Amino acid sequence: MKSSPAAVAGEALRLASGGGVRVPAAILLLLVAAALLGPLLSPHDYFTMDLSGRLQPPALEGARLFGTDDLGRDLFVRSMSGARVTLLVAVVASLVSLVIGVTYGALAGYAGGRIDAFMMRMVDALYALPFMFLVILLMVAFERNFLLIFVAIGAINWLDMARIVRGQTLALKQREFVSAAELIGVTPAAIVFRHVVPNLLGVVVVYMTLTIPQAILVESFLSFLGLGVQEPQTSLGALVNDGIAQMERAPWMLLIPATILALVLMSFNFLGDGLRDVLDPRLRER
Amino acid sequence: MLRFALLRILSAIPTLFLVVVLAFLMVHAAPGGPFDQERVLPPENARNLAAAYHLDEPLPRQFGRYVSRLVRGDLGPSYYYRDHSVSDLIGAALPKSLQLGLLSMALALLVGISAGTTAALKRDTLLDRFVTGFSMTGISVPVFVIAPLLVLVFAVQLRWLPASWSGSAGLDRLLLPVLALSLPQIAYVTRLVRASMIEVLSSDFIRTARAQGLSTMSIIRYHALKPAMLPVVSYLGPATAAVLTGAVVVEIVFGVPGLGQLFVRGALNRDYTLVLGIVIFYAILIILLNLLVDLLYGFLDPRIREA
Amino acid sequence: MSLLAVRDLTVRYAGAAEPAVRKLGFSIEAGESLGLVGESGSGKTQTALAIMGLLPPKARMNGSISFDGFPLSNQPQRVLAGFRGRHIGMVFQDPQQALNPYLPVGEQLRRVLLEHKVAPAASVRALAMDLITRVRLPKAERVYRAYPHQLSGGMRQRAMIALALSCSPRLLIADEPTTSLDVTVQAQVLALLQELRADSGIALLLITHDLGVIAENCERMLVIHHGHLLEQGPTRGVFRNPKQQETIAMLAAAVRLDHPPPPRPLPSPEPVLRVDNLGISYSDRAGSPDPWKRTPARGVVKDVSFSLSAAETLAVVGESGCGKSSLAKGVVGLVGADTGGVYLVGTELAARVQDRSAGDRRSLQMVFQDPIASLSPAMTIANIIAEPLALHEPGLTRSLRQERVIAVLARVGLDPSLLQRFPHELSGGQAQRVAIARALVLDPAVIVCDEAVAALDGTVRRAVLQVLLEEQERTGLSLVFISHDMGVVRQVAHRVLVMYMGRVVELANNEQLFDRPRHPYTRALIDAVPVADPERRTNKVGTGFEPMGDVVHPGSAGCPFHPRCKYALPVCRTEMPGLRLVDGVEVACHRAEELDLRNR
Repeated sequence: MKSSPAAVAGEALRLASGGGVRVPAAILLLLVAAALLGPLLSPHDYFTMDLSGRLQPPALEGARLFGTDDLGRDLFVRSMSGARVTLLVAVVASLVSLVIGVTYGALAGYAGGRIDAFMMRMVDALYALPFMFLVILLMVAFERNFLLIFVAIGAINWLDMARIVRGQTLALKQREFVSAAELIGVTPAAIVFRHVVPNLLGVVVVYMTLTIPQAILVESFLSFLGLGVQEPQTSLGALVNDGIAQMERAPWMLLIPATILALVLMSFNFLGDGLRDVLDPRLRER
Repeated sequence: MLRFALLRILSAIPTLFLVVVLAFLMVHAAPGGPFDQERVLPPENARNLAAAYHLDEPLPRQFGRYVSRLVRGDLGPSYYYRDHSVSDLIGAALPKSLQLGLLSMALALLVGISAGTTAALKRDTLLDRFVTGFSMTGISVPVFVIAPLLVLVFAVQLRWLPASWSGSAGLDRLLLPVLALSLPQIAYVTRLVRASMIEVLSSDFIRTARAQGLSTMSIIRYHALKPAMLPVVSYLGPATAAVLTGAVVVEIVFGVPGLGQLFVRGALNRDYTLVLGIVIFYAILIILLNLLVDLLYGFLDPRIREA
Repeated sequence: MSLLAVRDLTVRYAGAAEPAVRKLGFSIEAGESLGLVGESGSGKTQTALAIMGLLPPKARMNGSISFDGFPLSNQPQRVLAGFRGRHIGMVFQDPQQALNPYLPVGEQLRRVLLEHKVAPAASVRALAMDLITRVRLPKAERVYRAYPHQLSGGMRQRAMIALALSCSPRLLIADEPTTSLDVTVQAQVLALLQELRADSGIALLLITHDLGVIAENCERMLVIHHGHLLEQGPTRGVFRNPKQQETIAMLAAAVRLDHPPPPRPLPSPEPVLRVDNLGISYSDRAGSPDPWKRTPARGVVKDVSFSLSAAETLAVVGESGCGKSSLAKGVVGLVGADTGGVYLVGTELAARVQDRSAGDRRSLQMVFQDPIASLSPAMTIANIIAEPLALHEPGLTRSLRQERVIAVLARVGLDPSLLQRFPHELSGGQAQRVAIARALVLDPAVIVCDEAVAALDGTVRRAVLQVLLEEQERTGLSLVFISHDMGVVRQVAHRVLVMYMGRVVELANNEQLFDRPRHPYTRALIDAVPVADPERRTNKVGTGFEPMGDVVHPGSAGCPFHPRCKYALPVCRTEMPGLRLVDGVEVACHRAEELDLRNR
C-alpha cells in the first residue's frame, strides 16, 4: 500500500519536513562533531597561507576538501572553526535570552495584575525598538567587542521567550491543580517550583531550540556587515561575506559556508518544530 | 474604536521617547568623535567644529536641543555629508527603499497566503510536503546568502538580469533585490497561513458550515479566511522589522542607494546625527505599523472590538 | 421507504484498536423522532457524522446509508455537500463553538440560503429574518446583526437551529443540543424543537446521554454501547421492559426527581461548619481588558448564611452564574470574602486560605469539577496523594506515608497499580477518585465538592457519588455539594440551598424541597428537568419561566426573580423579599405562604 513512488516520496518529504526529531538531531550532532574534531583531523591548520595554492577548488588531492581561499588558507579548517564560533555565540546568546526571558516572564505571569500589566507594556514598548539598528550602532560605537555580541543578541531575543513563558504561567496558574495545591497548604514558592515550572520546561526547551537559529542569524548578519566576529577569528557569516567578494572567481568560497550555515539553521528549525509537535499533543492530533 | 486608536497613539509616545533617549545616549557614550578621521586637525579648528555642532555643551543641553529640533521634524545636519541635513539624506534614499520594501511585502503576502492556504487544503499530500519543505528552507536561508546566490545565478552565470542597481535604469533592476528580500518573508507567511488555516479548518464552526452544505470555496471565502488571517496581521509588525533589516543586506549586495545602505555607511563613518535620525525614523515606522496592526485586528475580530 | 436507512455502519479510526461504531443498522421514517442514547465514547456522534459525510479523514466507513432511497455512502464530497443543509440539517452540542465568532448571525444564515439557492438573492435577507423569528428569537433585526458572542447560550442554540432549518430539510440531526445549556434553557430549546416539528413535520434524530430528554421527546429509541446496538424500539417499551444489562444499569442511574431518594443515615445534630452573611464581589482587574481601570465591584455572592452538621450533605443548586461556585471558593478560602465569616466548629477562619492555620486548612478540603485539570500534570499519582501528607505530617517515614497512600487509594476503590501513572493516563472517573483520595488523606471534617461529578457519565457518576457517601457514613464527613444537576442533588443531599443571582432564595430539606417547593424559582428548576419516564411526559411549553439571559435584569429594586416569575405581584417589582421561615423552610418570596407549588 505504501509502495507507490508518490507515497515513498511523500514519506521521505514528511521525515524531512518536521515529522521527526531524529533526522535534524542527527545532522546537528554530526555538524557539531565535525566542527569540534574536523580541524584536528585535517593536515592543514587555520592560519597558514599557501600563497602558491590560492583559490584552489575543492579536491581530495592534498586534503583540500573545501578548497582554499584568496590567501591560500584551508577552507575546510576555516569553515569548521567558523561553525564552532557561530554555534558558541548562538548557544551562549540563547542562554542569556533564556535566563532573562524565563525570569521576566514567569515573574510577570505569577505576579499577575498590575505588575504583570506594567511588565508586559514594557515588553510591548521594547518590541517597537529597531533593535537590529541599535545593535549595529552598539557594535560600531564599542569596537566590536566579542562579549558584546552575546549581550546584544540575548537582549534582542528574550522578548519572545518572556511573552511565551508569561502566557504559559498565567494559564497554568488558573488551572485547578494550583488551587488544589493552595488548599493543601503548599507555599507559593513551592507551587511555582513543584507545580508550575515543571510544566513550563517543555515549552522552554522548544523555544530555546527556535531561539538558537535566530541568534545565529543575528550573529552572521553582523559578521556579514563586518561588525561581528573579527579576524583572526571567523564565523560562518564572516566566511559568507568573504565568499561574496570572490564569488565570480571562486564560487565555492560562498557556496560552502552558505550551505553549512543553511544546514545548521534548517536543522535547528526542524528540531524545534519536531519537538513542539511531540510536546504538544493537541497540535499533533490535527 | 476612535478612543482606542487615540489611546494607542498616546501610549506610543513614551516608547518613541525611550528610543530617542537610548539611541542618543549610545551615540554619545561611544568613544571617538565624528571628526576623528580628519587627521591632525589643528586644535583651534577642532574647537570651532565642535562649537559649530554644539558638541562642547553638556550632554543634557545637547539632548534638549536635539529633542526640540526633533519635535519640529528637523533631524539636524549630517556630520559627514557636511552640506546636507539628515532629513534631506533620508528623503533622498527613502523612495528606493520604499519601493523595495513595499513590493517585497506585497509579493510575500500574495504568494504566502495563496501557497499557505493551498497547502492547508491539500494537507499531507505531496504538494503540501513540497510547500512545507520549501518554506522551511526559505526561513532557514538568510537574506545575505540568498542575495549573492541570486546574483551568481541570474546575473553572473545566466546574465539575464543586472547585478546591481546602477547596471540598469529600468524595472528589471528591481527584480532580484525584491526577490531576495521577499523570499524569507514568503516562506514565513506561507508557514503562518498554513498553520493557522489548518487550525481554523479544524474548528467546530467550520464543521457547522460544512454541515450546512457550503462548498469548500464558500467555506474558505466566507468563514475561514478572516480568522486565518489574524496571525498574518500580527506578523506585519515583526515583518516590517525583518524587511528593514533584510533591506540593509540587499541594498549593500545590489548597491541600491537606499536607507539601509545609508545607515551602514553612516555607522561606519561615525555620522552620528545621520544614524540617530535613521534609527528614530525606523522606530516611528515600526510604531505606526504596530498601531495599524492593532486597529486591523480590532476590525477583524468582533470580540476585541468591544473590549 | 424509510426517510433514512442505515445498514451495517462501521466506523474505524486509523490506529484505533476497536471500531468506534460497528455494524449499526436503523432507520428513520418521515416525520418521526428517534432518540439515540449512549454514554460518552459509545459512538453516537460518529454515527451522526457518518450520516452527514463529515467524518474526519482518519476515519474509515463501511456499510450503507441512504436518504429517501438515494445512497449517501461512497458519494463524492461535492454531492454530499449539496445534500447537507438542504435535506439534512444538523445542530451541534456547543453553540459557542459551533457558530462562527467572526460573522454576524444574519450573515451566516444568508450564506447558507445563497449556497443552496433556495430563494432569489433579493429576498434572502427577509427569509433569514423570518427564520430568526421562527425560532422565537426576540428582536430579529438585532439578532440578525449580532455576533454570536453577543447572544446568551440559549439564544445561540436557537440561532444554530435556525441555521440547520434554513433550507427546510426533512431530517434534523441534533447532537447533544442542550448538554452545554442550563436545565431551564434546555427545557425551552427542547420545547422549541417539538413546536417546530409539529409545524413542519420534520423528522428528528436526537442524540443524547440523557434518558430524560429521550423519554420526553422521542417516539422511538436506540441504545448503543461501545459502538454497537444494544436495543431499539418504541420509547415506552424500552423504558418499561429493557432487555440488556447495560440498558437496565443506565435506566437505574437515571435519577427520578419524583421518586424519593434511597434512605440515608441522618446527620448528627452537632454543627461543624457555619457560614454567616457571606458576601463576595469581584472588582478584578486581572480579567478585565484594561487592568488599570478598576471596574465597579460586582457582587456575586450576597448575604449567604447556612450551617452544616457532622455527616450532613448540603447541596447548593442554581443556574450557571448564580454564584454557587464563588460560594464554594469563598468557603474554602480560594477567594477572599468581603463580608461575613466562615466558622469551623465555632472558631472563625481567616478569609483567605493562605492566612488559615494548618489545622484549619486540613479540616476543609475541596474536589473540583475537571478531574484531570485538578491533578498536577507532571506528578505521579503517588506523589499527588502523598503531597498533603508530606506537608501536614512531616514526621511520617517514607514507608508509613506509602502505606497511608495505598490505604486511601483502596478507600476510593482504586488499585495500587495506578500509583506510578500520570494524571493524563487515567480515565475521568479514576482521576476524580484520585482527587477525592487527595482530599481524604488529611481526614478533613468537610469536603466542598464543586460540580465534582458533572464531567462524568451516568454510571461512573453513580459510582463516584457512592464513594463519597460511603466515606460520609464511615467517618462522619460533611459535604457541601455544589451542583447544577437536580438529579444528583435529589440523590445525595440532606438539605438543599437554592441560589439565584448570588442570594439564597430557598433552603429546605430534600423531601420538602422536591415535594413542595416554596419558591417559584425552585419550582421552575424542578419542572425543567426532563423526567426519565415516557408515561409521564410533561408539557414544557408555556411554563411561564423565561430562560435567564433573555430577560433584562433590573437594578437592585425588587425581587431579582420577578422578571421571570409568573406569580409576580406589583410588590415584587418594588420590594426585595427577605429570607423568612415558612413551615420550617427558609424562603425569600413575598408569596411563600399563599402559593401552593406542590407537585401535580
